[in-house]
Amino acid sequence: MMPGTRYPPMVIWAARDIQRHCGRSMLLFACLASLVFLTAMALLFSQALDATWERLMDQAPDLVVRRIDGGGWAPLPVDVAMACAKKIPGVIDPTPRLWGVVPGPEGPVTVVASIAVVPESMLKGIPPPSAGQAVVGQGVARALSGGRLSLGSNHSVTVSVIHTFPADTGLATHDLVWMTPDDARPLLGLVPGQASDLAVHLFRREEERAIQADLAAAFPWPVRITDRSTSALNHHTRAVRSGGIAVVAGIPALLALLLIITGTVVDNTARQAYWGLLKSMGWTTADMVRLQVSRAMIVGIPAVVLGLASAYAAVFYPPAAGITAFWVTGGQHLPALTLVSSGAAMVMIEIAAMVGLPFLAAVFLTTLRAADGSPWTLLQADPWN
Amino acid sequence: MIWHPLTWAFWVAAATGGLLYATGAVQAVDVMLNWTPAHADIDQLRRERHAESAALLGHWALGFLTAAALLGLVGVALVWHRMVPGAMCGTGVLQAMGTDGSRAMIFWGVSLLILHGWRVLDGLDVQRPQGVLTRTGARLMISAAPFFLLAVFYSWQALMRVETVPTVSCCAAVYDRVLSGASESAALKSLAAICLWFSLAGGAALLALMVLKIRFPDRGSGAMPAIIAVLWSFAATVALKQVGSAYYYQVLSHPCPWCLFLPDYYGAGFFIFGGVAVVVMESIAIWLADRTRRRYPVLAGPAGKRIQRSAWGIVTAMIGFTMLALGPAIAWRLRTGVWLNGSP
Repeated sequence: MMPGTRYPPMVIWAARDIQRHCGRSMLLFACLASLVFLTAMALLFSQALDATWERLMDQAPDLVVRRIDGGGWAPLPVDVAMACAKKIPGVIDPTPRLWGVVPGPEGPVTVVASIAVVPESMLKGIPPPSAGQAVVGQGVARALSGGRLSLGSNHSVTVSVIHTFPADTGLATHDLVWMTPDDARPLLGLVPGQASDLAVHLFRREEERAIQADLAAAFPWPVRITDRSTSALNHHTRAVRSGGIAVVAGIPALLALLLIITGTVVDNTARQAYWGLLKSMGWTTADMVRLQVSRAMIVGIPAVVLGLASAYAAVFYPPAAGITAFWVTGGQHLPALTLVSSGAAMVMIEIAAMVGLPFLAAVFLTTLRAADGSPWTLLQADPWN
Repeated sequence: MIWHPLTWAFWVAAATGGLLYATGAVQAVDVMLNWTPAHADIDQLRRERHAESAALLGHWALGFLTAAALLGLVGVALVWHRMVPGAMCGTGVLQAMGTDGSRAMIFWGVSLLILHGWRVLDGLDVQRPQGVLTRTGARLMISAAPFFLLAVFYSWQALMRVETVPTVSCCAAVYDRVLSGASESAALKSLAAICLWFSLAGGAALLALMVLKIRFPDRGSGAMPAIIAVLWSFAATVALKQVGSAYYYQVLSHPCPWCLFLPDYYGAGFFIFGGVAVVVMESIAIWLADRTRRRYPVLAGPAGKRIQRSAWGIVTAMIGFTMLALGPAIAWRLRTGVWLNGSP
């Protein structure tokens, strides 16, 4: 047979073989597709979280300075902090921020009172709140009664909600309440002239680690400084680890792969007489391997593609994305969750390699093992013999 | 690092390829020790079946191990630097891996090169029924085993080391190299110039040799193109790192080959260094085919065809490499009237 014409007849033969064992092929297809779906969904979700966090972190300040004392976090005197930070060469635009976590009607919410806390891109087209007003995230909006929101326990404040943050910013704004500084201070326990922390931008971003020692020494009280790269790395490590753990948790799915492989082994061993017949008609071992690999690929490639496509849809298209997030993280249900899909192609390649390569190797090895004997020995395996 | 899915994919591909290779190598041992093509007894028939199985397993192992190597390369160049504090490209990852990372890459390269050589011999051997190269092929296939084991060992060491690495500074590593070379800048500049001119001259010589090989595959030495190609690959890599890469980065004194793989530079490194790899592999194929042609006249015809095919491969890879490595520099010169270092 000429090399150029070797494959199409083999593929047609393989397709007919699949047709003859329709039920077994369908089972293989379903097992492979669900295995790919389960594994890919966990990994795509962690990748999407990572990409979304990275985009948000890119807009975060280079350094965040918090005052600490024996009891932990302490309010920051704005004037002193600004004066100390401005003394350090390379520091530009130090901005005091007002924010904190306070009790809400259905659990804790994050109150912010300065726009420096929230990336500017999220605030486009949203009118800033006046006294007695607030802009809230999707999670808080669901708990509203009559457009009014009551926050705090000791010093409760009631505000009217004038707007909600867009659904596609849900990962950062789900539990957010944006209000004026005067409304927020009683809730956060701060007096005028105090801030929660200080956001610092640098003239050169690359100096964020080098400048930390000078900056810490400039303040008259102990401070904790967090840089953007460290936060981004922590988020990235968390996302990757959660994806890895999700895959480990999917060991039952890997056992299903083992079952598929075992099924393939049994199938090939049982067909030894058939291989002997083909071999005695002039087929080589390589031809049989090609036939079985073609057969596996006709079933396997669509199964892998379907599994990957379903996982992609489950992670990146709301409201399915919210259900997936709820299932994977066990946290709050975010019906309009929208995640960034950059880097998804790499995850799909990883999944295709992790599932596809062992599957193909199993098909190849078992076929080789079954068809490697002499024609006479293989024909002897016929149960009618 | 151990949790990263690409690390898992790399190990799955390496383990599967290793299993296939080990199975094939075990069968190749029988072929290597007892191959007697003049006999037709039952043992020789069994060995022929072993030889066929070993060949099939070797081809599949080569495919899987190449996939593993590519996944590892993608990890180092594009993915894993995000797990290493302070790293921005593959330089930072290799810095975090220590010498184990470089050793792993060298042993992976040698293993794949040996298996590629075996593939060339096997491709020639199957063209004639006498099986004159079967024993040599089996020997070559088995000889890849120690290099592959070392590749796996050092890959494991390197990836485990990344797990607990302190902060690295890959740009500092590059700039330190430039600064430490400042005292020897004259020697460094002359080395870069020598490598640039040798890569240009070597490239031209290789192209001329390849044109001759395409026209007259049965004439001339096969070792000469291989020697020139190997020397050219070193010179071209140094010249690209010291001179050509500056036109991608648009800055001088950033001789980092790994940044070329980043999406910011359209992943040009994959194509440029891929071109270098193709030139080296195909030149070795020419050497092996020429050696086979001389020793076994029965395989002269298939060997000649293999030489022609490899020569076309080298010509194509050289054209691609030249366009990608020198294209930005020439475009810069045409646009501005001077080279990047200011010389007219």
